[in-house]
Amino acid sequence: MAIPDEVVLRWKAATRALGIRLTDEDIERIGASGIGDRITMLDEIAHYTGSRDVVPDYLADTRKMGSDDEY
Amino acid sequence: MMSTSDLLKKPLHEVSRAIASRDVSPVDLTQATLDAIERDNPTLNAFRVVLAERAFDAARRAASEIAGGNYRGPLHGVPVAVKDLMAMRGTQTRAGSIVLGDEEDTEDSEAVRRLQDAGAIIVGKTHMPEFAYSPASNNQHYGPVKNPWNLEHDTGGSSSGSGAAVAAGLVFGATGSDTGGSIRMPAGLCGLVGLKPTFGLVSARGAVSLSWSLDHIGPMTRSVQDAALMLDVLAGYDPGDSRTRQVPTGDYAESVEGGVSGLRIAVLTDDGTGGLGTDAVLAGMQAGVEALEAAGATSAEIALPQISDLLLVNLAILGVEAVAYYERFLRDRPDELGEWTRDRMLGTYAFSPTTFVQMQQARAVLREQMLHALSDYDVLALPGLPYEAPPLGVNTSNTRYTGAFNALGWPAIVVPVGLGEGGLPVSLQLVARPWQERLLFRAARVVERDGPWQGGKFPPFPDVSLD
Repeated sequence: MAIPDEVVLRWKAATRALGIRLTDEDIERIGASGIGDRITMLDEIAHYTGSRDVVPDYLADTRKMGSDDEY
Repeated sequence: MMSTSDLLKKPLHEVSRAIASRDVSPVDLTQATLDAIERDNPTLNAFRVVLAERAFDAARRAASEIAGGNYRGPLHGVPVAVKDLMAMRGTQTRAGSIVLGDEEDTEDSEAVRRLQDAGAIIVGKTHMPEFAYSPASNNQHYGPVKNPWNLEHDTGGSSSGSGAAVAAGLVFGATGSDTGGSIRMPAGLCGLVGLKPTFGLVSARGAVSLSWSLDHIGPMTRSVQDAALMLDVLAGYDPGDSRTRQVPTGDYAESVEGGVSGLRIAVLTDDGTGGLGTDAVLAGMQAGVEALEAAGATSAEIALPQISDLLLVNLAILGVEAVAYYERFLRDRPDELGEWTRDRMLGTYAFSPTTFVQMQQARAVLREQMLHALSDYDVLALPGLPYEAPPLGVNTSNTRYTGAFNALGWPAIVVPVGLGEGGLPVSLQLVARPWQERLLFRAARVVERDGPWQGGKFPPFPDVSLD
């Protein structure tokens, strides 16, 4: 899947801040691993799970899932 | 009298008993181990460094202590290996790179400390892909690790050397780390038992991080009992690692033969992407579930499309946390990173700045969905990987069934359930709710004992050279 232009622009800007200039060859090579697909799918997940009421789970929250005996 | 090579093929718990009864000397066992490593490591590329002198010192100390009646427990005098991302005083920890580990460690990682305190003999540190950032054993600096089941095939990553070393009988157990499946993938592809414990059960202090909120440390062994024995040593609260929790630990090995009577098994039919795996994977999975049913468990099929979403969540969080830690090398020493690693890290910069937080939200939502879907079950059964070990190279589908459970932090164990069409192992993965490792060991033991693996098989190498 082709990587949207706005994503390429964002990508180039972010890496330029590291002092790295991504070439078209770089974009093609790294993009071949499925970056475009992945970003699309991440957007889809964010769309259906994102809500102002959902508190981000920064560390795997394992506290309340064990049985009382085990925890 | 048992030959040395036969001894090296014994599971950890059997050798442990022989050491405790003084039928086997830790010094002789360490010598045999080091001889085997010297013979086979040039072929397998499992060890980055072998610590022969230290191992002999530890073995002599163990022999003396045991002879004096000071037996420390089941790992006392047993040769093991640690992944080369765990700090060990007086050694370099490279984590598969050439930018880390120029200086010798001045402290032990918590896992190493616990193993040494238990009297284990650490004979060396094992190879891994750079920073553990690959589902395969590929490493531009040190070369790939060969799978003892077929030397032209991969071990999987990232605990690659640990997998090859244990499978080939070079050590009786090893530590791995697992951020998206890096214990379970090489264990599954090398015919081993590999446990990713609950997030926070085993300290990761002193282990080079790939992703702080997804890294797990755990055992890789040739039997379920062995994994439980290692977890008995590794598990426990560590005030030096804020991720660890004060939960009751121990008695894992004692729980292994507890059986599965009444256990409710959910058997995965769909992870949201379609077919589950090769015919051999499906047959192994079915045979494993049948073994559980025959032992008194019940099962029902379940579709969990959340698994593929959780895998993406895992990949995104992992990517951002990895570059947060390693960006300094991208910025200052990019030419010293392998191309695979550098490209993976650079790819993360294509994400939106909000992706990381949105994925943490997704993690919370998907966790609730998974808990709800599995509320009537004790254990989820699914493949460890969708296939047997692929040829050397990188197959990114390796993490298909593993990454979700790093995002959740739930415990997961792989156990071998047969050989695939190419003669390499296939595995069943069992997953439970947090802190239910004892339950997982009980179920995995039934599969190991009554399933197609029948308590153990050995790869053709080193007895038969595959060249």
